Amino acid sequence: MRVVTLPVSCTVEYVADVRNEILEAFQQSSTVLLSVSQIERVDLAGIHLLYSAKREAVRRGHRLLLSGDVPEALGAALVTGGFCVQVPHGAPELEALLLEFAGKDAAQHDRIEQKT
Amino acid sequence: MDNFKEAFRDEAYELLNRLESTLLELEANPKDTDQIMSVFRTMHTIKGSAGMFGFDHIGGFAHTLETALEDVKSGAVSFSSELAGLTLAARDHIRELLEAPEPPPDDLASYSAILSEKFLAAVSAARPADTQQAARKPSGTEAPARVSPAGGALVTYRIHFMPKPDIYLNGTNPVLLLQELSELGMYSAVPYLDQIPPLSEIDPERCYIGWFVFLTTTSPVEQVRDVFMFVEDSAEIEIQVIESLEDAVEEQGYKRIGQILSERGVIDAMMAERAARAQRRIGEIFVDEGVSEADVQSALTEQEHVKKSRERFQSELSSSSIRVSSDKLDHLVDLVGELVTLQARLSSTVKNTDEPEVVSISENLERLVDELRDRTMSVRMVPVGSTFSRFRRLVRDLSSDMGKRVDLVTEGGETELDKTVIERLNDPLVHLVRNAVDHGIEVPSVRDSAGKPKMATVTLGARHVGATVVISVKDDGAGINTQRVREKAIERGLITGDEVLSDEAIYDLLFHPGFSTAQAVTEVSGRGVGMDVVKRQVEAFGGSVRVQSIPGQGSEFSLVIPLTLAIIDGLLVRLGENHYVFPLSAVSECIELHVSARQQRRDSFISNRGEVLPYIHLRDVFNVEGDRPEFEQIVVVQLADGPVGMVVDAVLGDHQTVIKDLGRMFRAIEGVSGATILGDGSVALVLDLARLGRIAIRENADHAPAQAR
Repeated sequence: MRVVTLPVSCTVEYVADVRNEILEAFQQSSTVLLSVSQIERVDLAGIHLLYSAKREAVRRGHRLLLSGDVPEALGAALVTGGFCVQVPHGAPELEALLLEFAGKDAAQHDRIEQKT
Repeated sequence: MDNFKEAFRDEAYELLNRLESTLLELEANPKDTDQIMSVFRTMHTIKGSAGMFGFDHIGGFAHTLETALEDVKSGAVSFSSELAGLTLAARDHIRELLEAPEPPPDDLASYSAILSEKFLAAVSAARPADTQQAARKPSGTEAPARVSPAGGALVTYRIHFMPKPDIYLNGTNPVLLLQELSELGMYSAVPYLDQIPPLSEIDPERCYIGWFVFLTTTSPVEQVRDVFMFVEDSAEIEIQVIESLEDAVEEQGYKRIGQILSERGVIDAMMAERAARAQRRIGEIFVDEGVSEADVQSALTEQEHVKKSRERFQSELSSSSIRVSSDKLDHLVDLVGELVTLQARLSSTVKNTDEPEVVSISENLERLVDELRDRTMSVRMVPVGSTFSRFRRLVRDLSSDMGKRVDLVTEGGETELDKTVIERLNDPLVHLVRNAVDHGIEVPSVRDSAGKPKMATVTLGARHVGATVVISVKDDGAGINTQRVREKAIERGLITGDEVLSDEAIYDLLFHPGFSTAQAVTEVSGRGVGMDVVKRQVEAFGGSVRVQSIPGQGSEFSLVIPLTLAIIDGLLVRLGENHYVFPLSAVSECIELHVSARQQRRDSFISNRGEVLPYIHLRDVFNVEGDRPEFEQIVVVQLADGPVGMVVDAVLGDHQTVIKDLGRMFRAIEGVSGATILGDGSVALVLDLARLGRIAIRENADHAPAQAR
């Protein structure tokens, strides 16, 4: 298992580096753990990254896990953006959020496959 | 629409009242940024709602003020007392405008212009010299934007926000825009995530998410659009009104999912129709038909949001306070009064039966009626504080007109009084406060040489004393000059030169019609109209006025007001064949008085628990004939001056007393304030304890010298 600690500023200026770090982790291990508790600033690009990483994991058939408390900034941004109704309590809830997203994704994917 | 206008007026009056007290506080503490913000916000709200309801002139005027105050808000200009005065004047002007038709008559409109000019001049004069030129010129009386939806109140918007992929390039964080939207009202957002590519394909500096946002707010569409002001080129923004809550509140359901989706162009009407006829869960059908889950989800969220916003709107309608005309309340109180009387009759009838079931019903009914009475009365109780706060302005204006420095202190503003009493209190209090500032308080130089602080204090207080509330106006001025009052009274022929009067008697002269000791007739007082009117008005609703004064230290005028005018708990007593009622809340105890004690002592004092208790025989006061019983009862009541005993034949018990007016014929009877109907249909008189107390004191004064002799 590889652990990637998301940076204090999970914003558009830094996401390129974080993306590379996560991709590297996926290459080295089938289970990647993102630690979110360090995040103090987050923007939409940072949130993108979480969803994008989940989608990557689904495609590769890898596991993406989350750990740490959900920092206030991240929780607030998730609620404001409508990604969830309430601030996620901890990493498990955040994980469930991504799982739901990926699940729909997979279902939709399947249906499109079937049709074509 | 007229209802909305009325609601706007009500709201505006409230805002203006609050503005007034904020301004006065701000004047005392000009650096208080919270208060400055509050002034600013109030102007902003007035501007907004005025525009919404078509009061364009008020909106324009408030807009000018808001712009002028911008510099105060930013800290470039301090809030001088000149600005405070102007803002107060502007507040008064808006009040007048609210009462005038829209558009306002020429004189009011031109006064708006004059005030605006003065405002701008004052602000630019206060601005430091170097920033003067840079400062932008506020744009006169430009009308604020009108709201698009008719009626303009609570509206739900559907906002489709599709940032272009390169939106980050100009430094925009879409989440912050959404944050700003969410602050406008009730908000739900549904993001569209299906475009997010896997990590290996993502360009992390591009945006892949779009939203449907549902916003229920009173903000006009322009304000919603303003949120996206800086991203208009880098996002697709579509704002639609999906419903206006005032119209929708009667409607039962909202649009079906199919309707929502076809409205958005996701599906065609035929498909919506087909789906509606199918027997399966609607969302599944659409997903099967290839509609993206996100679209279905956002349609569901829209339904949910609309439902919630309606619920909240409705609960706000019902839970927040409502305005009820006092006529309706009076009518309700009358009915409750009738019910209480009827209940009393039932109770007394039931006493003579031995049917336990009837007794039990009667007792339960009595409990309910008691509670109904208390609740109904409490609806009419209002804290006096709201009345007090009006006087801050009066004191401020008066004292600055007269070159005096006066601070108004209020105490016991939370004390509650019947609304009708409070309304009638206003005029007497205005007289008393004016008198205190004009006659009572000395000019600062005089105060200084007397060793008193230049800043004088007028205290407006309220407190409970037994069944009454005492409202007092106290000043720390010169006190009443009894010598001058005396001279004036002799001059007017009210007393003769050799009459010896106690201080109390001299104070009583102040209430004589046409009496004034002011040396100069000012606009404020000295015209001899006032104190007699005060006394008449207060006595008209069963109150009384008391005066205390210490030369050099100040005076205190107290209004003793009955707590309520309609229904009270009473203590029923008997005198001969007649019944009388004491207001129970004034009664502290009952003591037996034996015939022997009565015969031994000729004066009317007894020793009660080591205290001297003065008492009067109500039989004497009301000329009740017949023999006295061997054992009489002394009912001890608490009055503002201390306890007084009142001797009655027998105490019968408590009684729910609906006070009825005695009518003009009997108004002059001393010691009785009203009447009530007893359970058996006979009438009992309600005692006016304050008056009786005075009789007791008078009698004791007659007796006391006799004792000394």
